[in-house]
Amino acid sequence: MFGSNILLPCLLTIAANTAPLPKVQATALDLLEKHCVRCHGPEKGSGGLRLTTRESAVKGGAEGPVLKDGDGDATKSLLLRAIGYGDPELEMPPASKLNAGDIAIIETWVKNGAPWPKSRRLGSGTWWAFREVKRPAVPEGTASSPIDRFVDQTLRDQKLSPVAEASKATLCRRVTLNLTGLPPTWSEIQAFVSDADPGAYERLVDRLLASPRYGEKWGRHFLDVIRYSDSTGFEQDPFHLDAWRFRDYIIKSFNDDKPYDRLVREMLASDELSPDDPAARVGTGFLRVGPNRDFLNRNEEVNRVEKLTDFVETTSAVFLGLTVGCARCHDHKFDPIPTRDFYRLQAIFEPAVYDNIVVNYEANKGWERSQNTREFKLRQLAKPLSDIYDRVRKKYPKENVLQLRKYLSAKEREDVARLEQTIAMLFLNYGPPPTAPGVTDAAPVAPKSFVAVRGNAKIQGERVNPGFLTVLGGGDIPDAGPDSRTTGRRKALAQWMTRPQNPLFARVMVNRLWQWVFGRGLIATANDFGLRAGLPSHQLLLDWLSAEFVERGFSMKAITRLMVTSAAYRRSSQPNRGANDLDPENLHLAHFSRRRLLAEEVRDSVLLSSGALNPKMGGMPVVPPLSPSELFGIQGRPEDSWPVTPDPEEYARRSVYLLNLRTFRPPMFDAFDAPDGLASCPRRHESTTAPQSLTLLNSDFMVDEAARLARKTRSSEGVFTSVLTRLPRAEEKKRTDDFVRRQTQALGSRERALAELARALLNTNEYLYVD
Amino acid sequence: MSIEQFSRRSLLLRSGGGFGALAASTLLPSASSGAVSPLAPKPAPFPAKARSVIYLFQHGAPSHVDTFDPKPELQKRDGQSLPSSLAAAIKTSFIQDPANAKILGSPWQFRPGGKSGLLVSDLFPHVRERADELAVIRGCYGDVFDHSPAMYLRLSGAQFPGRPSLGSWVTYGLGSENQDLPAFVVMTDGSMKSGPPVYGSGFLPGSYQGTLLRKAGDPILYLKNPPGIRDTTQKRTLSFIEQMNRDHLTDRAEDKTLEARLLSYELAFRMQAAAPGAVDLSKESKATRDLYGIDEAPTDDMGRKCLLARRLVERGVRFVQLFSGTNVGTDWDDAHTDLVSSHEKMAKKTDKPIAGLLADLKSRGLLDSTLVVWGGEFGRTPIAQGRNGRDHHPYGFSIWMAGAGIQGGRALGGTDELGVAAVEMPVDAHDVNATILRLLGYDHVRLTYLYQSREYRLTDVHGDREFSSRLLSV
Repeated sequence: MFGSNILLPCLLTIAANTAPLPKVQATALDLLEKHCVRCHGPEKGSGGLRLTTRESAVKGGAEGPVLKDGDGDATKSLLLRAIGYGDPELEMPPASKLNAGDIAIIETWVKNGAPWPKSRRLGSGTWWAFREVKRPAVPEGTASSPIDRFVDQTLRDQKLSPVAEASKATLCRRVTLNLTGLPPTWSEIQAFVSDADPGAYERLVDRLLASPRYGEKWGRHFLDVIRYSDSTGFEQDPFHLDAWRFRDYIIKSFNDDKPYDRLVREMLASDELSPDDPAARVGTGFLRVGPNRDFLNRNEEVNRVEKLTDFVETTSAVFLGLTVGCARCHDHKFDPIPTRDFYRLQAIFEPAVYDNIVVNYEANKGWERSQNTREFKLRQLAKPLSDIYDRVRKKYPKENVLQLRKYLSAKEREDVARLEQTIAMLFLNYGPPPTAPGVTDAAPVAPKSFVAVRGNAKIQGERVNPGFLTVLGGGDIPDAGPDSRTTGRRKALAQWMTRPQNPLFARVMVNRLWQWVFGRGLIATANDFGLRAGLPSHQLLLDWLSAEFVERGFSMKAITRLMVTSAAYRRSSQPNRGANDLDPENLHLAHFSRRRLLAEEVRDSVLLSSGALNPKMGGMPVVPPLSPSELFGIQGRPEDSWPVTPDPEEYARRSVYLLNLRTFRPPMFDAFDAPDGLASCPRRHESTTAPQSLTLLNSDFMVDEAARLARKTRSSEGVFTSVLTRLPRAEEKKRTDDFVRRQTQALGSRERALAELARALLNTNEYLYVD
Repeated sequence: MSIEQFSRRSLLLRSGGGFGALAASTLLPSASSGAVSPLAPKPAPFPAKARSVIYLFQHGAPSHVDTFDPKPELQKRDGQSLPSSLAAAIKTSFIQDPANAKILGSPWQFRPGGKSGLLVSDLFPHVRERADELAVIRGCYGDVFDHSPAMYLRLSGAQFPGRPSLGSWVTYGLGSENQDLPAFVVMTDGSMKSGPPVYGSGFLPGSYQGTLLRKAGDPILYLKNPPGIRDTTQKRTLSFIEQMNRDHLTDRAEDKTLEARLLSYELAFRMQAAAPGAVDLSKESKATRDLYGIDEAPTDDMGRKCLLARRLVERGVRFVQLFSGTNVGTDWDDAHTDLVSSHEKMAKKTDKPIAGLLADLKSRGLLDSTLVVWGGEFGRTPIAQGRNGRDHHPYGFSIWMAGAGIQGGRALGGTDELGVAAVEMPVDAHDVNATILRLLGYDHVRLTYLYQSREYRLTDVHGDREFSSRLLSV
């Protein structure tokens, strides 16, 4: 099992990588980039001067051209005069004079006609998102929450006025669904509404954040982003058998409020940082639960490269909000990410090999013993089974192997069924292996790394060292010391990534938290903070939150609590008249943005309303039965690809625990925009389609749960309050009674009529949307 | 993305792309609605040759040298080895050493069909009679030799799952002319090596997802009322939902998404009314059913699918994606071990229905506005796997197109004399997809979708060898 999982099978033949690279001399353009474009760049163009491209530099600023003087003499150019500090009126950079060596480089460059490749665009490196976070002052104002001070200021600037606070019942439903993915019950709403204590809302928030349901909802958000799945994708879509341990690790990390920087360090390099802590080591499962096509094994090199690409792309998108994937083939068109940087990052992951982490040593001993027994029994059982098929196959040599079953005699059929059942039981009683998927390095040294020219691994380009993105300060990772067990590359990455000075690490995550609370991030493209992303809707707020996140020890719960207790969050979802014209996307948060339930929330809410929800946490993926029609199209034989869990109690578990395949989603999840796990999903669609309505109206699941709800409540008021968590208004009561009476006549039974009422109410917008 | 957001976006898209404003006629007839369905028909930016597409995908990959690419040289050298230069070009799934494998001549005769005399093998006698409609593209090639990546590549432009499929792109670009039926319909024989992502909508909104017609149970999932619920009961429940939703909307009138959901129930109801009729083949005459081979043993299933395809495009469905073959039953890939029986089995199932489809579309005047595409994920090796098998072969193979004003009865492009490599008019999956888009009135570089700050297109950075003008020229 261990041997077959090696990612890089050829590591033992590596020669030590010791030759240092010659240090590349800074060019004049690098110096301009470093010292000038902060003020004379794309965001600010001080004095009308932007030193971003050759054209803009030649054009000059308010004081005319800077590369030559009026007579076309480069030696007397404005630029050289400014950096020469000869004129006290004109000293650049203003902070301090450049050193003599740097001045000489720029002088030579200007005298040579200032060569400037077209592709080189300066200043993208000083993009706001690449600058360190500086805690901004909280604006003046009356609001107690700093978040509101920032939001209110923009509202004032935009001449928009915020709406009033939502009703208590609305607020209770909003925050409960937001933090736990489940609606509150009617009695929970009643208790909250009648609680007149001024701190009641904060207490509700604290209770929800402390609920284990929180990790199930927020862990699922994060699983979207880190492209989690229980299968590998591609042909036959093989299972990631123990990926669920990583899923449970994420849920637990959220519930424990594990500091985000620690979580990410564990995900990138717990094998190097805390090799003796099995619970932390599960984190490197991050690099195992992605898509791979190891199964198509005649393309090993392609598979290896694609896996590395997934590591680099996902790591950069998730933790840095950067789309480095473009740089695999060419320098990034918009962001300052050269191809070389892509391969420097890739080199960090190249030594990684699959590792199975024993999470419970004692259990593992027992498991290994039982595995031996089981394999012995399996061989005993497999022999008579294959004998039967071999006999049939000899008779029908041309038939497809999978079709042989139909030629079995009645006796053979019986024998086969018995043997297959025994084998199945052997597996079922066997339980999950006490291991989790992870990675580690095969050795402390790794082969040399090279740029793949135009992304083609067959064309070896420039040699690169493992290292970090130039735009974020760059730097190479030194070789590991002689005593090291690993290369130390991912450890270095983890430390570099999570350092408080990293301008993107905190920003990107607080923006996700904001999106999960408000529906839209301060930057809408949560996986892209590059130049195409534009400016945040509230730039200072984003920075304030980022600084706060760092200061509060990367506590996600603390920041989330700040957000959901803000007045901005508590506003009604009823906009002011005309607000949709002034601010159609509600960027400025004058009201709360209504949203549809997520796919998992639809299913989990229905289970909660019907009383069926099984709150059991964690464990192997649950596979509820689906009809042949629902399973139509799944790869392979449905009984193999969708192996139904034996215990029916499990079918009503929360959706996050259901088997999550890359090439097949249960139809309800498919209809309601659940992610496919094929790549990082930063934000789900919220589509409105006819298949959604058909699913909610007619699927077995909805019909069964509606009937259960009717059996449980036995009255129209009971059905109404269970679903809509409020009493019907007078005209609704009349409408409801009328409906139940007429459906009772049509269906001949009051219970069936109540089930119809439940089915109808579960289909209402009031149920499917969060005000 | 909500329907309401869509309308804003599509306007932006159009003004940005210079396609002109959204026509008022694209608004759905809905009581008070400003909501625009994402599936409302949209005019193509360029004159279109085709209004609909029927893509007959051959799952498992049929052999080109045994169907539409005759190679007399292969017969002559049967049993010999490939020249080493050609053998070196072949890397594939099972044949480990192509230099030592033997050339395998085709067991089938090629004969001229139609007035044009286009050569088609004896595997497809019925299709051969329609030879004058076919433009065979013999210079197809790809760079992956495993099924699932190759299927993704052909149908979504990337060898990894997760990108929108061709049908989703087309529906996104053009919407649908029938709002009571799904815009993009998929029919399969069951499990496929690629799984459902090959007809998925990827990062496009769910509205552009293919609707899979199921063999078992309802043709469209959840279309039928729950057990024991008659139409009148269902109607009463629906109208109760509508009343509740209208009340709910009263003080939320600004929210187009909520309105769109009301509309989605209306659509669901209309679909419940329209779909059973659309898929009901019993109204078709015996002559028509016979034309497709319905009620005859090997052709019945494919015959029904092809007839259904015609009924759907007749009703304005934009894209019908049909797959022949399944990896838990019969498909073209059984050729690994037995070329003759696998190909005869698959050809017998599909030949008459496909020929029937072409004839029927033609006689109803639908062929001019319908593009029919036939092809698999790759071809098969001209050398033998084992004694009587052929392995996967993406380096040169054939597909054909018909309808949409294409000048048929001819072959374009070609492979070398042994059918190994595409040498004349070589075209890859992107070129083919660009051509399909062009026939529908779209320039493939301009059909884009902004996802995570990047404008994606079906053809990525490829598709320069779009060849619609070759297909259309006399």
